[in-house]
Amino acid sequence: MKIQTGATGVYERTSRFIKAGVLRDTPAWYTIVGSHPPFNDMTKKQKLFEAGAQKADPFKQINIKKADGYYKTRHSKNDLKVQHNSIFRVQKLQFIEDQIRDVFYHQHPWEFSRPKILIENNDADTYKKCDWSHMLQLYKPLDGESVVQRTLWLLSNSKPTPMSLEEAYDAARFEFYQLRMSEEMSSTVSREESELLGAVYPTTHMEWGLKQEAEYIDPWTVAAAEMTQIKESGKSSKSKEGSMGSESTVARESIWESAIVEGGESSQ
Amino acid sequence: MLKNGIRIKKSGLSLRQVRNFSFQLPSISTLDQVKAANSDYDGLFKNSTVKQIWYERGQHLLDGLNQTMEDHGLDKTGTDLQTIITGLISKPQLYGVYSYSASLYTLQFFLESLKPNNTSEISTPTADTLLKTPALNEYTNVPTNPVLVDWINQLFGSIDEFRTLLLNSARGIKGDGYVWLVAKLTVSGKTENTKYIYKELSVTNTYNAGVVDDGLRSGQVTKLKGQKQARLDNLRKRADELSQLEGSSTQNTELQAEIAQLEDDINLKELGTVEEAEDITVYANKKLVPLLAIDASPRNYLLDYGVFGKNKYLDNLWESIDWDVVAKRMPPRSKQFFSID
Repeated sequence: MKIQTGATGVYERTSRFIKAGVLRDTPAWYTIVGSHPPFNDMTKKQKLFEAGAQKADPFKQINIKKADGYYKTRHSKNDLKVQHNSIFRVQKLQFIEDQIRDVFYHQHPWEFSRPKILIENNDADTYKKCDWSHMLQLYKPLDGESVVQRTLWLLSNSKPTPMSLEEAYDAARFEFYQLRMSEEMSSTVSREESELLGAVYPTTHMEWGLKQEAEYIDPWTVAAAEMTQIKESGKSSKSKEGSMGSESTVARESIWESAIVEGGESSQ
Repeated sequence: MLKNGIRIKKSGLSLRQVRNFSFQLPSISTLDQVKAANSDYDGLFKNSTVKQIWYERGQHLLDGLNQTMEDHGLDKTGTDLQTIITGLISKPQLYGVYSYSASLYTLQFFLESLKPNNTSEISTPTADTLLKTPALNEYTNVPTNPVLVDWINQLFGSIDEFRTLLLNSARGIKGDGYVWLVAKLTVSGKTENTKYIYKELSVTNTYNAGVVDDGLRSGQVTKLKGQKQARLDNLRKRADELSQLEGSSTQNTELQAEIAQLEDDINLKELGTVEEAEDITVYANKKLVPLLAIDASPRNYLLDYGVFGKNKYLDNLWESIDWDVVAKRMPPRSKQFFSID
């Protein structure tokens, strides 16, 4: 992208406008900008180059006669290597928010299990609207992020004695616990209240899943019971005691099997 | 037919005597003082609110109770609210009577556990107070009875925790409802040497005209099952008679469908419902003895505290709890002789 430097020439342009009579009055900022002109070169410079400590460009050292009378005709491996590649790397951004968030979610791993909307179209706007002088927000549900933001607010706004990071975090955390307790009690009471006033809730996902499973498990138990019986009878016929079998092997059928078989027959 | 204040009413085959007697609004000394002095109920209600929630609503409930009892020809002599509630809880046809008496009883119970206080103020909070985190330990009113304090500390952890639980339960109620502090009574042993053991305190909610005593609910599901069985027997008998009359080939399909439905209901090849399990295990030997009631319904705070005033009202309510009354209601505590920590 071309570096835009137009804005820095505003003083020159205004001077020209005044001289030409386009502007009648001098703007209020005119003298100030005149005495403290902005830098007009916005190009990002490499520091070594600025300081004059940059090594000569190896690409320009080709085909020049050296002191010993020889010519360097091609680049060495070292010349071709990209040096100082750290300047091309994206800087590692570090924020205290991330650290607080990390601590909070390590201490409260179950907070991750709460459903959360991951698509946030108006994220920036939402956070601008929030006022962290209190933890509950109109635009945002109570979660770990509330603790982070509230901690930061307490850090910079606690009066008259400023709080340390730990104190602020603990204060925010205890507020969070209190609000969570209240929220959970509220949902429990609401459910109880509406149940007692006649509400009927649909089956949960768990119950629905069990029902689906049962459709396949029920016939299987019948079949499995039969197969087990056959297997058991086969075993007992091969037992050491001979084909009659011992008393214990004969009376081996468990109450569970008979119960399942009875249930299976009646359902067919 | 009125004769010297005694009304003879014909109901069914037997003549039942019903005295021309009606309940009076009970007197609550703190409220009567407020009414006589035409002053506010300090720290909780304004004078007009006291009039509305007790002298008007109480009277309304009482009138309703007197009227419905007369309508159903019930004898009022020698009965009190508690007896009516206990007697009628499982009689849906007398729901009106039960409802009026339970509402009146809980209202009276609630107002009797309060006293005016000088620490809190009546104010109308604005909408932004909804977002404020409730203060944890900004309160002054605490129980003084050492047994009660010890009991609360052991069961709930601390007074702070108990207060949080009590007020959070009240905050959760959206409509008409009460939060109760109750002592759980467990009855053990046979009739000769029955033991009454109060080990636990607990916080529970009731809604609308609910009463706190779980023991009263005992046997509902079993009774319902019995009714269904009786109905099934009746239907079978009728089906038999019909088939004998019309010849064995014809069968009333509607009747058969109904019988099949009832049979299905009764002979479920499943575990019983939660209600059945509760009926058999939970309520059989349990009773809840109320110590404290807190009315969380909007009619109490809307007048003085406005639509955003529930939290403020509940904070003030805590300040107004008369712990001496609570301690008086407290049954003797059965302490465990050992505890495993």
